[in-house]
Amino acid sequence: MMAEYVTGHGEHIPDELLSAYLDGDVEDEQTLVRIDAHLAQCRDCREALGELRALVRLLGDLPEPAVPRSFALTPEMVQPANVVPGPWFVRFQPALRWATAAAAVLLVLVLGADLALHQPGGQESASEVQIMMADGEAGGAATAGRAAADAATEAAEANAATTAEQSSPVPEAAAPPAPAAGPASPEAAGAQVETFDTPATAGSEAEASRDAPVDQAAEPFAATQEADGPNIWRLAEAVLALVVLWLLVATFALPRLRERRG
Amino acid sequence: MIAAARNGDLAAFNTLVARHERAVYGVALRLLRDPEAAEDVTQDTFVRAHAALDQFVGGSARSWLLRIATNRSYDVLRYRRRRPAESLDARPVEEEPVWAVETPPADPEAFATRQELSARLEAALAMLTDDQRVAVVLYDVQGYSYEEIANLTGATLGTVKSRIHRGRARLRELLRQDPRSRELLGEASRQHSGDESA
Repeated sequence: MMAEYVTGHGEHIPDELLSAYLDGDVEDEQTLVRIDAHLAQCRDCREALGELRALVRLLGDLPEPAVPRSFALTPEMVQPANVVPGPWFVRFQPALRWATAAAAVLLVLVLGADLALHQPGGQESASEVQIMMADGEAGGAATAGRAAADAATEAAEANAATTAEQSSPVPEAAAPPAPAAGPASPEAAGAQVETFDTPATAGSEAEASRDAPVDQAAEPFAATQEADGPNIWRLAEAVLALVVLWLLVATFALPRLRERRG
Repeated sequence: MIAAARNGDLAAFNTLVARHERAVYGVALRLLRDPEAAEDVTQDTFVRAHAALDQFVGGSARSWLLRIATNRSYDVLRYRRRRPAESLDARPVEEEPVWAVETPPADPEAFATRQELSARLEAALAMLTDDQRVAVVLYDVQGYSYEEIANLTGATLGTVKSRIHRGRARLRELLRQDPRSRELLGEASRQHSGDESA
């Protein structure tokens, strides 16, 4: 901008350029020469330069204003508690993120270990398949639950033809929704009781109706209704799933909700 | 004094506040043109300074405080720019702040002239754009370098220079629009060149 200036005849130097000249900020040699030459013969521009110089000086000497009040700090102002830190889910945001990731990894590990340890392949009775159906229907809210029910139906059909070994897809298909179905398991048990007109509890029925001494460890799905052994796995998975869910809400949903509310 | 304040002596810190509050409030008021907002920034500056005493590595306490105040004021300006409607509503009617609190020097007449011109210059400063005013106040009033202003405002060096020069040109134009201001400016200019030749 400054270097582009060309002084024509009878044309004054713009104030902006004079201001730059005042600061020694005009680097272009030719422009500098032209400004000097113009100033030597133009009284108006000398006056403008003088006024700009006075202006800069005045700015540097401007008095400081009177303060409307004292700004001395009171003890309350310097207390750390005075700093509003925001709600807990904002304060512990980084820790919450890590905890969510850790809990999710743990859940996957537990699920993986469960599947690996409790390889399916044992024989299953018709009642167990029916239990699965009942459970699948009860937890039917989830699509995964539906998938389990479908798989169970298929399994039931297969079972009707023969009491031969159950195909492995059933427990595998049923395993993933287990955590989600976890909280609903009492309902599932209830549904099961309604379905079967037996006075026995869900667990004991599953136990009693078993026509072969099936290895419990080989029955990940039926374990929902069992009282010991793999039940611990179900419980751990359900608890972990709840923890992950809660952490997800605390880490992502709550801060967003708060932001939206302003 | 800073060492005492660092050890938890609030009275020592408040001595620092009393010494620099005018300068801090002054820069906030010039940048924001809003006494209420300037008050908030000033108080906030001292609270922050107190909390960050450990980070003060030495040097001038005044420039350290002014830097905090300038940064906070610029934050407010940026915030206003993002929400212009809201800030216009919030901005109080321009009231004339009390600027001059100097002790009169030996030459009362020259002092009175300068007082009057200073008040008019403040009014003209308030009429610049935010960008020009920030650049001129920081450069000419506070004595910041081009680089410091560029860092603070996120503008290029060329833009900063251009804002300063345009701002000054506009100030002169504004002062010359009023006959009395024009007369006072001419007087100050002659007085200044008189000082130099002497």
